[in-house]
Amino acid sequence: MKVNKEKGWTEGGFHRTSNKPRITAAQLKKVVLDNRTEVCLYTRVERKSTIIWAKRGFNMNETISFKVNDKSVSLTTDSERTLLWVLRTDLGLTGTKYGCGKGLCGACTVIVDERAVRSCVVPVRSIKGKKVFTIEGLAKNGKLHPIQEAFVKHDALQCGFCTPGMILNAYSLLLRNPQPTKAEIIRGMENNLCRCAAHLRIIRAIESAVQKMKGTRQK
Amino acid sequence: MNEDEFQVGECGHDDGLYPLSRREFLQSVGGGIIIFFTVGGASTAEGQRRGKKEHPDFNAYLRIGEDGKVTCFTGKVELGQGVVTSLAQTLADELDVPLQSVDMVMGDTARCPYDAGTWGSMTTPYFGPVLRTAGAEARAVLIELAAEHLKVPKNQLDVKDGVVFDKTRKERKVTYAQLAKGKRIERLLEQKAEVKNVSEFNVIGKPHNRIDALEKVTGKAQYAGDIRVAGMVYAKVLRPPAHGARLKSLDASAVDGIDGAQVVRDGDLIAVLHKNPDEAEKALAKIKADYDLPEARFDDKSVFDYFVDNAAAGKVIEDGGDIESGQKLAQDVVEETYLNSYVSHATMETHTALAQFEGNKVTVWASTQTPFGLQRQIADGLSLPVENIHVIAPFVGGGFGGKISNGQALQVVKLAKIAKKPVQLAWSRADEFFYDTFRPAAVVKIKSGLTDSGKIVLWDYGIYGAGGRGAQMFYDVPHYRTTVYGKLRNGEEPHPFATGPWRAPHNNTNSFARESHIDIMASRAGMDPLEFRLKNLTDERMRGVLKAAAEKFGWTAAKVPSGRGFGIACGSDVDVPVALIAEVEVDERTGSVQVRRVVCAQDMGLVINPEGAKLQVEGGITMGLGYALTEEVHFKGGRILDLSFGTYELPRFSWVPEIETVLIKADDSPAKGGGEPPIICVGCVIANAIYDATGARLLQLPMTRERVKAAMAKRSSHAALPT
Repeated sequence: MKVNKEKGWTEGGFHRTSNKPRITAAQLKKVVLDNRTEVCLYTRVERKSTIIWAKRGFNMNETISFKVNDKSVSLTTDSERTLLWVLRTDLGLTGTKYGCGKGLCGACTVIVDERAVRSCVVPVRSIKGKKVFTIEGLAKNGKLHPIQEAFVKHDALQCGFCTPGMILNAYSLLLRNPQPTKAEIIRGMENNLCRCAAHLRIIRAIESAVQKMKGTRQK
Repeated sequence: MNEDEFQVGECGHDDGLYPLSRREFLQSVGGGIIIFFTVGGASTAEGQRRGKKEHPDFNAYLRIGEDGKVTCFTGKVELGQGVVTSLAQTLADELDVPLQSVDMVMGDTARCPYDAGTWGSMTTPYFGPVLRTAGAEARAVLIELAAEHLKVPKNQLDVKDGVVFDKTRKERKVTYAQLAKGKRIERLLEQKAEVKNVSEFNVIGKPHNRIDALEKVTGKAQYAGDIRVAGMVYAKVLRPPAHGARLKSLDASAVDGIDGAQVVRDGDLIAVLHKNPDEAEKALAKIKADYDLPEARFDDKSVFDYFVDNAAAGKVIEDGGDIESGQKLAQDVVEETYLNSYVSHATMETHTALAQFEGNKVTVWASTQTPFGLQRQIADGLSLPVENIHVIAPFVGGGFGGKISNGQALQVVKLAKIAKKPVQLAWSRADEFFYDTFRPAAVVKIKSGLTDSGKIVLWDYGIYGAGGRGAQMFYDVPHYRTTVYGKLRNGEEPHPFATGPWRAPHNNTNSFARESHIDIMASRAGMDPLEFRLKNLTDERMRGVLKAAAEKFGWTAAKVPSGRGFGIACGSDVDVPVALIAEVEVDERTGSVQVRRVVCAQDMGLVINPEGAKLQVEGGITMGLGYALTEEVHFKGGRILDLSFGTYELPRFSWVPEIETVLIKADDSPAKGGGEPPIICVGCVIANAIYDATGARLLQLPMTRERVKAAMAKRSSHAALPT
């Protein structure tokens, strides 16, 4: 194992000692062909693919530009880092929460190009040139978004840790379907977890925001 | 194990804990009118209940600042339960100020006086009344000052929205701010001031939205992991493969010093530090560590037999009459065994802490229910005086009893000390499942006896693995005995990993067993389960909640199983009786249970914030669906097999029933905590409703699809549904 200081990545890997590659030819092909698959492969077999990563320069810093809450951002970092931690550490936007790191709870939900995504599993390279909204960017000119207002009015939260993700997931849901039925709200929110169990209030808050937003395409 | 002992032991409270003298406090407070007060008065009811001896001369205070702002300083913590709102309401009412002018400063060991911790539904019953008296005392001081200022007799004055005025000439008035200006008045509350009558309340008892909501919907609310200090790095800790594993060898050469990662080791605590937490985590995965694993004594299936087979002699915690006489009187004897698994707290915020040293002083921001307990733990661990340790609990992302033992904060303090820079540690979700202090798995064995007329005459109750909270017999039974089997024969603790209080500790277990068993007896007696309960119950408050729930639900008598899918159950926690009625639908093919409707009636005395109380009831019931239907920690010895939300299933939106809450009007009875009681009957009420729907009796929590199907397959002919 040695560090290539010039290029900024670590060379070598755990399968150096073996003559046989520990990933199959089929997987290798996928790695070469498809950038997205590499991410999956990495999380699945981890150490075993280190050498491939190194050769392809995955530990290399890259300059990435995108918009966050209407402001342009440009930062130089390892492009495989997750959007969640870039937001929380490099950009100081701590309203986006870490809940599970596997995209299973929704606490880290942010809006990328008008869609809710789980920022804990999104590599920052994939948002180059895109528009990101976090909870900090939802209220405009000091005025709460109707969904935020409804969460306050209906006590749709307790500890508040899942709340930013809940609100942004609801925001995305209403962008796609401005007049959802209760069943559609439940289906749309199903994969956001809340341990204090404010579910009933959250449903009610979204229903009331829908009423309030009727006829306006509010962002 | 007694949960109270556990908590006190874990928190390590002791004499001499209280670090600052009143004089030192006063120096830091500034001007205005300051009222000190002691929770529970001189006898410290809370302290006595917890068997502790500390005697601070006050443990909270409030200040009316020179700007008229009211600030209440308390070591209590806002975990989501809503006390930041209900305490502010309490104070605003007694002081006659608008709710918005009250600031709560909570959970900061340097700014707030000592507090034992936020647990056990104790904030409202113990802290609330003293806060009211303090508010009344402050109001009395202000009236005195106003009488002097306006040259009007005191009894001619009244207060509204922080303005004292002459009742005969309303233009003669003075604000609290004007009165407090340039003053420096200190009072130690001696509980003399008269508090308001119920009829005089303006804010107490009125529904109010949470005052922390605005910060929480805008992302501004800061939790421990949101605090940033200059030069800080993030830590990820190496989690052993199992509890009880011993580290044999470690090779961190692939990580240490590479790509900005630093490996820190203190005994078995091994961590990677990095300026980015995600990179710390990546680096951690490259550390090679070998462990010796202890032999597994049991797993999630064999745990129950192991507890019973290896139990040491039990401790009788309650008895009356004698069991032999009960057996003679019984015309029908019912024996059954109830099981429940380990359950995780699974708070959305994982345990998080940040430690920053300056010389031999340290500041720690931590998600904790016990900031002062943590202060003492750190002092003991580092051999530093308590006054060198400043703990701040910012907003906490859920507690439920899981944020009392402070493991993450003790780890991060060690790391920051070695690394000589500020370190923040947030446990990963897998860490959280591993290090959590689970609700204990338990076995309950009940032998009961009935007469032909449907009276319970015998109740012999034994619990293995968990404690006795909620096991007290409140039905009228002449011959009863409750035994807790806490230890194993060889003196070992039964659990292979840490266990601890979990929202209404032990009571979910005990209520599940008792109320399931009562239902079985009702069915054997051929009686409606509500009628059977009332027939065996004289406790007026318990009868009250049962009747109130039945009325709200529209209960009509029927023998069980009726095929309707209705279940009823009742219980008591922290002196709050609660009754639940549920309606369920069972998919006979898949074993899936959908709870359609739950009615909850609760008698919690004076309700400070009805909206907050309802929110707690709904939260308790919805959270309870998890332990009732899916939540179960799988393990083999010390190895935890559920390390993510992928296999450990929390309740989701589609599970949630309609919930209707009845809060019994009892304004003249002292206010009690309402966050724990509603959850205790969720398991049993669903079990009883499943039986009513299908004739299948579920004896184990959680009632997973497989267990529901298995119970249906075992249905005996006598339980067949009416056709």
